[in-house]
Amino acid sequence: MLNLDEKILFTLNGLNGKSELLDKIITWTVSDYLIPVLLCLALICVWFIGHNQSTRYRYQLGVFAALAAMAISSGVAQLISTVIQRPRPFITHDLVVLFYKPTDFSFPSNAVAACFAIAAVVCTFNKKLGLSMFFLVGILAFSRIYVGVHYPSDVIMGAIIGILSIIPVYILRILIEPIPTCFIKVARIFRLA
Amino acid sequence: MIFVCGSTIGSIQITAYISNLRALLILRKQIISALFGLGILIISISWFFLSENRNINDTVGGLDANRQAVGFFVGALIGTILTLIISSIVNFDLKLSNSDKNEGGLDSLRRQNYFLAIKDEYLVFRSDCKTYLAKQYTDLPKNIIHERVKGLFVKFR
Repeated sequence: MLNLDEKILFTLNGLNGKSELLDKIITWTVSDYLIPVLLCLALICVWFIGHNQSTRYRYQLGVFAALAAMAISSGVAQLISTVIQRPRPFITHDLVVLFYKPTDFSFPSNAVAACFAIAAVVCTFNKKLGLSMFFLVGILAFSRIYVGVHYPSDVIMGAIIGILSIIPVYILRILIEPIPTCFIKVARIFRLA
Repeated sequence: MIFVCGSTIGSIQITAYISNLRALLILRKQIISALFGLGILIISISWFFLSENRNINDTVGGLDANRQAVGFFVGALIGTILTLIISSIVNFDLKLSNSDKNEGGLDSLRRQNYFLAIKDEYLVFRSDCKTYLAKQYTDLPKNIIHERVKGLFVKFR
């Protein structure tokens, strides 16, 4: 009997080929370049946004926090992936794969974890932007299942890791705040912060 | 890298419009500059995905995560530098009056072009570099290790 994870995977992957337009859109949204790059561009925007220095300083610290959360979540996902070694769904099942076939392990989704980490941090200081980012990352997560490179549980675990990665960042922030502050001050000298 | 460079220029234009940073706009009219930014962002993304298949595994010629990160960083840096150069040329007549010259950081770019802002900063630095550096680094937040060590020193003295 198929478990829920596989049932959802088969349902979503079964949509492949039903609509040419949807397939085309998904091949864009699932890309390693589109949504991750859009999130990073949003971080560049966050750096410059803010009508006064104190708001900007808070946002700029947030950019550093987002990058740290991304690194932490990526590291944790990599570690879990090495321990669990779950094969990709297209290896164990007969699926239609719209994406290239990754050679690393499936659980958890590293890309989803990193992107969720960025969105989660941004949500702590700018709810509107953070929620828009969550929406984009949701599309990425859906696309990963749709094209057959992840199980739903992979992306759910990725999302959990991403969201939880803000905890160590906020604990570490007390320790390392002078470093980004120093960087921001240098950028301010060059009129870029 | 061209994709990131173009997108960065576009993003900065949109942000400069929102934050009213006139010196960073590369067209004189603010709204047109923001639309230009949006356009360049959409064109960069479309060009990137329509020109060739970008979904390639890093084992067969695609970019791995590290190279992607470096590519993004370099592209974003080039995009930012290009924006600063072009906007300084376009806004050559955007100057602050002497009474407004105490504005620092990005705030100064609302009414002064980037080149002049950097020039002013350099002149202040050159006039008294010791005071200048002291002023920049006096109010750094103290981290918890610093506080604990300081506490220990006070306790054992």
